[in-house]
Amino acid sequence: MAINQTRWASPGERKPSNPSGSPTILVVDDEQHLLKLYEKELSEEGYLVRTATDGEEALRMAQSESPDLVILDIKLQNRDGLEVLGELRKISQKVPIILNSAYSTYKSDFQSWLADAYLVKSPNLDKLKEKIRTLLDLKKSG
Amino acid sequence: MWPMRMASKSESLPDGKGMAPAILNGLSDQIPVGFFLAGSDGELAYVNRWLDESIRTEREAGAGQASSLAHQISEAVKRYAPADKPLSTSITGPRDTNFSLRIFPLRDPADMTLKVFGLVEDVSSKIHSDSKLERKVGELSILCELGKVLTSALKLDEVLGIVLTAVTAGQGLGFNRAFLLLVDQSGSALEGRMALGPSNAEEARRIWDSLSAKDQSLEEVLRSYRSALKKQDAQINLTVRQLRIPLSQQANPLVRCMLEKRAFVVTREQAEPEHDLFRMLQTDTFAVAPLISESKMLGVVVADNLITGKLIEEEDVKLLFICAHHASIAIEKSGLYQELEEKVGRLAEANRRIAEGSRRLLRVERLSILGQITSQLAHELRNPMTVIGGFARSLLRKADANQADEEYLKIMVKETEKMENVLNNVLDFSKPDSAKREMVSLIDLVEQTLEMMEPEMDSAKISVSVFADAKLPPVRVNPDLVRHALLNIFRNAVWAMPNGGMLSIGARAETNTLRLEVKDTGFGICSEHVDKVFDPFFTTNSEACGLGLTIAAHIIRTHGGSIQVQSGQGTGSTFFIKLPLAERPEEKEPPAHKQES
Repeated sequence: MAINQTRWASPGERKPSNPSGSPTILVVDDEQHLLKLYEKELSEEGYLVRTATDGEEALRMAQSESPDLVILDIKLQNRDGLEVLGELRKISQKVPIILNSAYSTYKSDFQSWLADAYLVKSPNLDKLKEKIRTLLDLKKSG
Repeated sequence: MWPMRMASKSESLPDGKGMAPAILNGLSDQIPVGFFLAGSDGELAYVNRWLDESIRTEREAGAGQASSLAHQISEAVKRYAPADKPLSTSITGPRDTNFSLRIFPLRDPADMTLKVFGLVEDVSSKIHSDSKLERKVGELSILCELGKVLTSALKLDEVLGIVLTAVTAGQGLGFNRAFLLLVDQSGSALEGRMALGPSNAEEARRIWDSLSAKDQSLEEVLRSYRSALKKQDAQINLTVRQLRIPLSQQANPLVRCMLEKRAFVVTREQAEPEHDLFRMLQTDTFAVAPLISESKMLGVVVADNLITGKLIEEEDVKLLFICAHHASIAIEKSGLYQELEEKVGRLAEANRRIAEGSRRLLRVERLSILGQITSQLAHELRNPMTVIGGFARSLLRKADANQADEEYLKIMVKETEKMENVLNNVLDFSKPDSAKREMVSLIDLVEQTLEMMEPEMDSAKISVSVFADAKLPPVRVNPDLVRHALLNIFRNAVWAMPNGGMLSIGARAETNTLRLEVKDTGFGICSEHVDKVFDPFFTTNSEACGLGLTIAAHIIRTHGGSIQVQSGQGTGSTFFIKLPLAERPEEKEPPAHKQES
């Protein structure tokens, strides 16, 4: 259930990309093994993957690494992912954020509407990869 | 009485002193008591007129010397006079006459020889009335015992059996046979219900021999009526059940008996037009008594003496009438008892339904707890499953097609897919019913779901037809959930038709409900599985997780509806779904909603 409308029609400030030129993706999840899977899968797709295991680290890295896209889990160990989502939005209105959770119930939580997409975790990462591509394309063209 | 007479005599003596011997002679001639004077050898010296006449009448009637009154008096005097004491005895004369005899020894003042003065009184009528009294006491005790036994009888057949036994038992009324006819349910005819008695003389003798050998009281006989009935009733009961007399036949003696509320004897001569009745009962004479309660006619009891041919006397009829009266009360009571039993039955049924209802509630509660637990569990499992499945996929992409590893990785991917499928369903199942209900057309939801499934249906070669009333009233539901329920039901149908088939969906409105029928032409559900199709994790499909129909049913029920299935192996299945129609808009809280809280 993707939210397809473009939130940022006007071009905003653009932070410098990493030297290799490939987009950076920040994955926030407290599950080490899951981070490892995403890291492997997404780097194989050609992305530069950064990971954070809690909300504070995520916010720090969002500023230091200026990722092109954030994949955010909702259940984090010491912070509510939806709160982190709000903070991330304050840092940048432009960076697409994908909520990625084991729960589908948060879809109905209006806070989750701040995200650009909401995907339930699945061993099949095809949908996630497709969503990343779409959002990055949208960002580029935007 | 005797001392009184002595006293009055002594008081009147002073006046009687001058009484002429003629008056005394007249008295001795007129008094209806015999008296005599005799010697101690028994020789009668004087008899008054009454005694003289009695002796003469008796002699003219030809009584033998030995049994004659005069002879018996002489013998008694001879035997008792030497004792020299007053004495009373009784004498039985010929033809059932009874006399009392009192003798008073006297000393003749002249020679002091022993003489005897005697008084003779005819007591035949007194003895007769004593025996009548005895009989009355007997009858009363019969009725008392019958009453006692009937009090404890509650079932109609039991009452009837006891009454029949009382009418036929030797210790009771002593009729040979008895029949009971009751007014039928519609109140239009008398119907033979039960009978008791031997079917022929030989059988009668056998039964009576065995009964008399037992030497039981009536109460004991009545209490053991069941065994009596079992042994004797076969033939006669068949006969009685063939009897059916419309109450409109008012000339029929049995009907008349009830109408006139009295008991009487009926003979073949009197009731010639009713020869059928006599033919069926194979009797010429019978007594009939009405069974009537205060307000209505219950039936009649018929009794006869077919075997012994004993005359039915007036007393027998009276007793039968009273017996029938007792029986009527018991029959009416048994009717009330039966009503009570029916009421108790209805209450038990209501109780059973309540118990079932509470079991269902318990099940719902258990399901809701189960839902919470599984939801928690599902989330906990999703992360490891995502990791395992994800890595398996990742490895599979690079695996060498010829290596065994590839096959194992494929298995891992497939199994995690299955697992994911289960988790998705569990999560859907435990999802709280969103409060977002809308007024929608159910048929729109059906069509949207079918549209979504079009590719699936096409590839499975299933043709779909929808029949619905043109203007179906809306339902107030959460459209997402109901679409999900429909999807699960339709998917089940698709799975049941692996070789293609037809899916027909019909919808119509009834009072307060919308009925939806989903019929497939698939392989059906075998009878032992029909009850389980909505149970969680029940499936015969190795590819499925067994939650689809559970979730569908759960969704329908949370909307205040119901779902049932009818199926036969090889004949397809039909799902019957009912959803409450939407309330009028001004009512903010639809009852369907309230039920869930």
